[in-house]
Amino acid sequence: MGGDFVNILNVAYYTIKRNIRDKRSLCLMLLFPIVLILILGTALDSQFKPQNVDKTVVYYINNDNGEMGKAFDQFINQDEIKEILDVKTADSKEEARGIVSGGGAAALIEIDEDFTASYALGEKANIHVYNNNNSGFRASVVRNIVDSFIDGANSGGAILSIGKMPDYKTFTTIEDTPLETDGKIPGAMDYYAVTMLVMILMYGAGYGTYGMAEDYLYDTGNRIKASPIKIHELFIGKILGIIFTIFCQSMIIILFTKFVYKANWGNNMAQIAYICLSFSVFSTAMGSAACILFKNERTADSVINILIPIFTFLAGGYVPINSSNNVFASIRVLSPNFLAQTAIFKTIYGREVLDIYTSTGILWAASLIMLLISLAAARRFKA
Amino acid sequence: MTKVIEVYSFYHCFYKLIFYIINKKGMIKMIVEIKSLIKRYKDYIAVDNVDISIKEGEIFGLLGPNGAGKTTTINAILGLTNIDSGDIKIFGRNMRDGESEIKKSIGIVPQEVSIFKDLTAEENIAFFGKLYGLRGKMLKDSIDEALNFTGLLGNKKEFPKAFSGGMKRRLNIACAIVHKPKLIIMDEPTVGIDPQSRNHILHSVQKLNEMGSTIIYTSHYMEEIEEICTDIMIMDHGRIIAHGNCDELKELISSEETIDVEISSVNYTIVDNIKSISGVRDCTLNDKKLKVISDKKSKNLSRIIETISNTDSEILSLNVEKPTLEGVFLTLTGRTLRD
Repeated sequence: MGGDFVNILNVAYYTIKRNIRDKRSLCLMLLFPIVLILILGTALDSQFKPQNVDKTVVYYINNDNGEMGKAFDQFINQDEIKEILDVKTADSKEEARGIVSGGGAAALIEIDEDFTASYALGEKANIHVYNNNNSGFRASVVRNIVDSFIDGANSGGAILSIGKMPDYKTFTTIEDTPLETDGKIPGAMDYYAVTMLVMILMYGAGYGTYGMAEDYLYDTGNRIKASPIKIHELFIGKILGIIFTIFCQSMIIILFTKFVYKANWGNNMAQIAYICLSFSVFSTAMGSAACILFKNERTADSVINILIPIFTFLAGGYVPINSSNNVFASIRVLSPNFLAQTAIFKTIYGREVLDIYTSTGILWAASLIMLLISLAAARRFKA
Repeated sequence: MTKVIEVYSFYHCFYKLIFYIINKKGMIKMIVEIKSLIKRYKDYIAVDNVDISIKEGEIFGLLGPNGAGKTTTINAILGLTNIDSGDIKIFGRNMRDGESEIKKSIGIVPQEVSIFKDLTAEENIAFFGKLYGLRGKMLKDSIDEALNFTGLLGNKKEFPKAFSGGMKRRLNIACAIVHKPKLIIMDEPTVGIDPQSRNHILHSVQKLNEMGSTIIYTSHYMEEIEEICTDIMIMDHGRIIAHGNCDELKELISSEETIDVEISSVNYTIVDNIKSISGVRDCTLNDKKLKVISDKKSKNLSRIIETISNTDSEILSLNVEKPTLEGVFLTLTGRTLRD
């Protein structure tokens, strides 16, 4: 048993040593993501920043001289509302509509001439809001403000109808509680530091593919198998060496992006390291299994190189995807990148999409299955 | 052709009988014993009912063209391929009865250079040394010995990518001998290298043998086999077609010898005189070049020389053509080794 362990360590040691000397792979695994994170993080920075919303321009025509019309005048000229809306008056309805249609204002609010009379009679009283199709959320803001006036008026009417005078108090309905976004949502650099790390960890599968090809498909492997080492010792040693290599590379990327790019990796580095280790195991297992099952390094490499961009895209690795489509949501869970990214984002930002241990548990289970299949196949390999 | 095979079969049976008697008395230690080995790849029979016995201290040559079944036989000995039937014993033990122990005493020099290009010469040898259980000072000393033996001591910190083909082949050998194996299997170790490196390797093989290792040496270069091997087996299409030492194999095909003589002047009476010598089968003269074909057993070379000397012609050169293993292979199969 002691000999087994020494043999495993021996194979792992030389695997790590050789991987470190493989400059081409190191370049791909370290320089490539570092450059990619810089480019994407810088180029798409504005896309990830919360936007400041300026005042919404709205035109207002009040044709009602009654109490309700005056009440709306008062309402819309409150300071709180003025912080949100820039209310302008128009000479005519046509002129105002023209401005709104041309995009000069988000909406036109128009109160009918008989608004107070109709309200007093309990009939239908209208405040019209016109907006153009491009007004987007600004039109919603206007509608919500108008709705809040109408709700208040309706409540007051209801109280009067049961014989009580409404007791008006002034409430601060819009509280000034600014959202602190820094560190709570990822900036572009933070986002791509995670997604590109996960993508490059997946490319670590190439180490697994080559490692298995060398031991089970090429002549060097035959020579090693002619020695007293047992197949499982060779297999475990090689896998451990590869996992260690990929894991170290992930730590280098994390430390570099943390201290040089100031990417946010949160405060729980141990958990981040655990997730990276889980994903290193997964990518190694995937590469190994592909090589042993296809019995051809180039075919295995090709399949993996097709799968990785698909997995990365599904996980939103290139661009964040906020789709509410159920089918897409089901498909993206199949992407191992999604599982790893989710676990990392959850660790950093505390957003619950899938539990960290559920995500990593799935990765470990899949890795174990692939490794066992690889080992079983490797034991049957003969010249 | 039929006669040759009959002679071979008789010789082979006789040889086996004598060998069996000696072996029974425990006088010869067998290193490898293969009985009725058959290996098929689907419908193709790579090794067809092969028996091999290799004695301790031999350089056993396995000669045959590409595809003869040499490497498959080697893989079977090493347990790297599943066999369809037969029995293989190494050091008197079956591989399944002590694979790890048996393998510790075997060194393999694969046909392809099987070293790691991203490890230095020293690290390559250390890696394989560790696989065979060497550690610490013993490992260090063994690495230096292997490097020294293969003439690579001065290159021990260099990476193989900077090596010539011959140096890579030598490193390939160094990795196989670091643990001082009792049995060294060399599968075509000189393919594609320069004559100087080839000579170095052949010399190394003989030295390793002198140091106590039994060697199995496969090649399709008959000159190499002829030069170093003490026991030779010729394979073709997965079957053994001849077995013996170099002289014995040549005896199989050669009942006559050819004598080429260059004379100073043309004299046709010489031809008639030589033809009258006992054992001479034919004699031709072509522009001062005399070709005499004679029965090998008649031992009449001195009489031929004397006959020529008795004329006014002088002998300018004389060459007795000896049969080669290439000739043996050609006679037995109708093909040359490189066909």
